[in-house]
Amino acid sequence: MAAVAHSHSRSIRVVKIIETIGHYIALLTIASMLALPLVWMVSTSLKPRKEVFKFPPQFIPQNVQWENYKDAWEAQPFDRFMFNSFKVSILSIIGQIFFCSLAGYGFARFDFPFKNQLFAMLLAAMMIPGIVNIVPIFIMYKHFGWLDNHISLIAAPAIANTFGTFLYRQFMLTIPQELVDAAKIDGASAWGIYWRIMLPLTKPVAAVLATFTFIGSWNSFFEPLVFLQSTEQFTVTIGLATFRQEEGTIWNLLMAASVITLLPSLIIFMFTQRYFVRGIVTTGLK
Amino acid sequence: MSASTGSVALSIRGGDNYSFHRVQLVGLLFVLPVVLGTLILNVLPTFATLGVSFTEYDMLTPPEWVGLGNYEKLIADEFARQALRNTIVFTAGMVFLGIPAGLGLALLANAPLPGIRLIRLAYIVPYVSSTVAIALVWQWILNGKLGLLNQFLKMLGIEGQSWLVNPDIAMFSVIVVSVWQSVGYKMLLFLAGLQSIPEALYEAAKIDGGGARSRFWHITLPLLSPTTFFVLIITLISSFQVFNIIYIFTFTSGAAGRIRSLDVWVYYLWQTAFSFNRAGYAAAMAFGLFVVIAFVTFIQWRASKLWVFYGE
Repeated sequence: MAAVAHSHSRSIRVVKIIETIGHYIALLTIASMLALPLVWMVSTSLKPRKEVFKFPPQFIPQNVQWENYKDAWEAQPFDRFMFNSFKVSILSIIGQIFFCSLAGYGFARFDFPFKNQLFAMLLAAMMIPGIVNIVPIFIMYKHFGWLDNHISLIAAPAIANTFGTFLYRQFMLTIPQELVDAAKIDGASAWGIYWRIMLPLTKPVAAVLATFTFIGSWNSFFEPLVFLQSTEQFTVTIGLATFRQEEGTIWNLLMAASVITLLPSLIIFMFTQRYFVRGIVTTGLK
Repeated sequence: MSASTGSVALSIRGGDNYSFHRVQLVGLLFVLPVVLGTLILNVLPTFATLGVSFTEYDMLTPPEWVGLGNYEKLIADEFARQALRNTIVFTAGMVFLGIPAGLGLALLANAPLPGIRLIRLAYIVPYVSSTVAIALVWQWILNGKLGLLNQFLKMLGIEGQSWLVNPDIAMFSVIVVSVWQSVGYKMLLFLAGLQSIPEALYEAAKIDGGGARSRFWHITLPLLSPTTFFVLIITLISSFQVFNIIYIFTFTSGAAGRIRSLDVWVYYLWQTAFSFNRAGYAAAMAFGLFVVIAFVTFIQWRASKLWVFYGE
């Protein structure tokens, strides 16, 4: 009797193990399907020209050609593009964290006339996609002298950022009143409370926003395409598209340029994925 | 921030509301930059879009009032109709292929296995990658002559295709690539939804003898409906605005010119505004997009009250 029970539980365990293995196989098959195009990108980027079109296709290049990266980098001013993309991303992040935390603080912890109406306006504005406004914005930036200037890419995410404000407000609502009261006893002003309590305590929000904004700004294509004109102002995505147009289909160099474009955002993603995932999950659950 | 430099005596009471009127206005100062910024860069331009849409305007000479002329033209415009059709096809693909794919992946990845977090991260990599770079490698893979896909098919003895040039399948290729890119993001949203379903419900169903399939239909799907609803909304709204992948896929299709079969609404809008310099006509297209997005958001929001299960 005991032996039967024993072998029974063992067969259950065997079934469990087989199930787990099957599960992993399914998970990894999908992972490799998702990874395959990126692997092919890297593979092509390292092949000499005559190996690119070889049949049957080979994922591991026979003669690894690192010079492709140097050639791609030099075919277009990628150092300039990189600098511009970093500049736009970082300034967007700084501006956004500053202005959104200020506004979030205002909405979360103060009472003032028309507060609810103003907040409702921000929520409504969140529903308006930027593309809807592209024509008047273009005309306006033209009058401001902002065309072909990076401020055209920074202004909106930095200051007209309703999502960031919303996130900060929600988070600041949860900060305990005792902390604020204690600071007030110490004579802290409203600004002092913002600077010494709110800002340090909302670092997780800053991390989420910074991650999102970096990746969004780095990958952004439509706005730079519309607002930028001269090569020295181009961001990497526009640089990459230009490379495609001007050099045609030299696939190994084009793939090297694509890898160059992808790497910074993927590296940032690797380090900040915790915040990125958390950000998606919190916005998804609202 | 001189208004708050400690000169005002602050009352310490429950709540954060300062009793002095002056200090309350400080709150207004804090929100002012974002409120003004949003007003100038977001809200007012939407009204301006509507205004410009009633004009003919090349952005050089002064605009000329044409009333509803642009909208009348839009209805009769063969290219606009084509663009609308393509956008609808793309959106349908993203909804009917993309959402089930995201849900399926979430169900698969919702298991407490060692290393699962790393695997999930791998699934999001395409989503955080630049669409331009992604579109370029897919253009190479789907290349009609020597692309990887056709090379594979050749090894299996199957005749390849011009995946991006053949007008009958080009949009399908775009959908597949877009689903591939966004499936990890949808998975993340669905995972969050799945993990919010109380385990006790599954336990109870097991005791009642419900099979895995019945549990999926009677517990998972209904309780997941808020997430599904959210994913549907953002899928619709982002699909209406598809542009980047179309731009890359259709550019440099050779001297023969671009493949019109892939033109979508925003592409046509962009071209109208910035290649043809017809700001008024483009504004009419943009306002049309705005109305559709506002309408869908509203309808979905109303419909959701009927079928979305929000708990207790």
